[in-house]
Amino acid sequence: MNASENIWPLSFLRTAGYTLVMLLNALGHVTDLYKRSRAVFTQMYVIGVESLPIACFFLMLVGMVFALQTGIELSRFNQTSLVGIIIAAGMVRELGPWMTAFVLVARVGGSMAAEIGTMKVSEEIDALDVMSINPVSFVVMPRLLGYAIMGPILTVIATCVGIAGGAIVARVQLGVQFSDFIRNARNGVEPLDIYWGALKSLVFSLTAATVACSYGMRTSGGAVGVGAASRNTVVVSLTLIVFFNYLLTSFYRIVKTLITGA
Amino acid sequence: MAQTSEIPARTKAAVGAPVVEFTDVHTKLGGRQILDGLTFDVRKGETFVIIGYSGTGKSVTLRHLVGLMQPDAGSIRVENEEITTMSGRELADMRRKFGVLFQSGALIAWLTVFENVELPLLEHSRHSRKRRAEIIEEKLKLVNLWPDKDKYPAEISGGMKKRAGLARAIALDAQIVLYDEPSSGLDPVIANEVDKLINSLRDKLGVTSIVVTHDMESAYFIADRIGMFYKGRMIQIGTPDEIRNSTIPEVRHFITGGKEGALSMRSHAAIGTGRAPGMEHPSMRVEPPAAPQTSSGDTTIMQGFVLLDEIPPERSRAEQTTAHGISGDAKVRGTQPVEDGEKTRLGVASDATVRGAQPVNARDLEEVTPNAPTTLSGRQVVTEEDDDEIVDLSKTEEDTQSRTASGRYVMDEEEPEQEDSSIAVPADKTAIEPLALEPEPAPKPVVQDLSPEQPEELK
Repeated sequence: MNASENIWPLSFLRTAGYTLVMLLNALGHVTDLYKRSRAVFTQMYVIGVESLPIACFFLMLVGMVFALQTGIELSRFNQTSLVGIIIAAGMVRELGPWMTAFVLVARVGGSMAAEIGTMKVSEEIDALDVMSINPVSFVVMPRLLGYAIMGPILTVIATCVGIAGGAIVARVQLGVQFSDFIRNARNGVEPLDIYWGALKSLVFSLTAATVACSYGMRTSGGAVGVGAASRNTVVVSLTLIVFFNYLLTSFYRIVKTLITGA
Repeated sequence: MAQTSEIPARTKAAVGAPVVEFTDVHTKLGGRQILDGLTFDVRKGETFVIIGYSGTGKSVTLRHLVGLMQPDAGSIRVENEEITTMSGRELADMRRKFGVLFQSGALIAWLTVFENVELPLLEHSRHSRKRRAEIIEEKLKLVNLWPDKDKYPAEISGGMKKRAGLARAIALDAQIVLYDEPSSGLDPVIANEVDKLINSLRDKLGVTSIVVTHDMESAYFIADRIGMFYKGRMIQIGTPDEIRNSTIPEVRHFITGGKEGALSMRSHAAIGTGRAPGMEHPSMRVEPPAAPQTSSGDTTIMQGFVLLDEIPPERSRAEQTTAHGISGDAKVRGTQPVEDGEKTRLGVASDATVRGAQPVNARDLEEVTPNAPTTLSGRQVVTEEDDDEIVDLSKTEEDTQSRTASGRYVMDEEEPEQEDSSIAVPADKTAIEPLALEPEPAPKPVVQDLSPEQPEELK
């Protein structure tokens, strides 16, 4: 191994460069969709449909806990009825995209890296190369597209379930009527919030899928390498998602200020 | 110019101009020189077999050929086109000339056997669905996998994966097929069938084949010419007969599985020049066995035996290695008294530098019978066959005897001398017959038999 490969800034730049080029390459191969449609639908099913139950369950519990904690504080000011505003706004803007992304990284990201990594170490990627089949088109693009499509859809569904969970807790444990909860929830969420939440989810999905494919495609060293690729995918994806979440929230504030003039 | 090997009569008509040419190719990986002036060519319609020790770069050579790796220097030409300077798109076009059978088959895991074979057709042909199905049926029947066409790779055995990989490799009627260890991991019957398949492709379809293998029986059976890869280049290229009768120690050592050839297979022995019969290119050199002397006068040796001054057997391994200046990765494997009583042979299991030791040469090593049990002060010690088993002479006699009792160090006392049995082509391989592959059953769940007859350590 070249000594320079051990210097982390160089290694980081190399990894980042490869990942970015691979992402652009994959986006460029979206034109191959007509012959990869089956693979894309398969990925949509694996990423979206199969993840739906756990994502909904997870977000429902998040919504319930969120409602309970918020209700406890609001009850001190006798404003428990306002819990709907906070739950809806918090879930749509933050917790929905964020927590759904976490669920997807845990359930899909690591296994995606492991799957591609196994293909790499078992020469399947090389076999594609020698058959003149672009591995980015064949392996990466369908996963990236499937993830990017299903991530936001899953986020919308899971967020709704999360808000519903909050409503149930508000009704049962905080004594807030459903009608009050829904009315306040509507007041708490603007169209921009929904768009921004979907945008966040799209960015998180692309990030997680790109990181997973990048680590998978650069796997070496047999089973140990596959394990490392899977582990690194989860760590790096979650870190980037948190980071991008902060950036997007900051942009959201700027955009909202520009729109409302407030 | 080196002597050119003669093309066997059976393929002379089919063999034409070179379709693959490596010229002075150098590649370094991880600081290690993998290809060091590799030069050879493969002619149209022939089966060229590359043999050589594990980890020496044979598979790397194949990867260079299909552009998966780029050399540091040198020229690689395929059908007179230089591939080292090709762009990505040109490489993709060039690769369509090749079919590649990978060691593991490299089938796409989520596609069935049928779909795997269909993959190159879908990507690179405009055949109708019906025509594709006909081609796939033809190829799968050729490798006798048609009944298993709907199975996934995880549901078929290693041999079936290789055959499916071969069907995929020839789906587009590639004119050059590369085989990376086609018989490794297969039982002899299936390996034999794969060999027949390779011959059949050459004879029926006229494909040029380049095969990397360790299996000499297979190599003799399928090869028109064999190239021995050693230290990054071909040290001999010749017909199977020329290789079989080679006088080059490294080649003899390899083809006889260490029973002949004298020189340790990974020995650093050497640096001489010369040429051997059958050599193709002037860049090739023969490296006669001789232990190299370092500037300090030390001897470098890898895995073999050295003659040292007599060692008191009661001294520990550490004392012995220290006393004789063995450094590096040296591990003492035991001692063996010499008839004249003046010297003791000390085995080292891997890289070692031996200060002041006498150089190893072929004659000395031939005198050591690798498989013979060696007893020293009542202790059983390992012989050359046991690479991983290192006897610690400092162990107590009871320890060593208990190991002996478990069978780990006991060698056959009278192993019959085999006269090149490993290179004899069996009678059933002398004729190329139409393929008659028996359907291979799908792998069954492995149930470990823990019957009382098994040694205790296996339970």
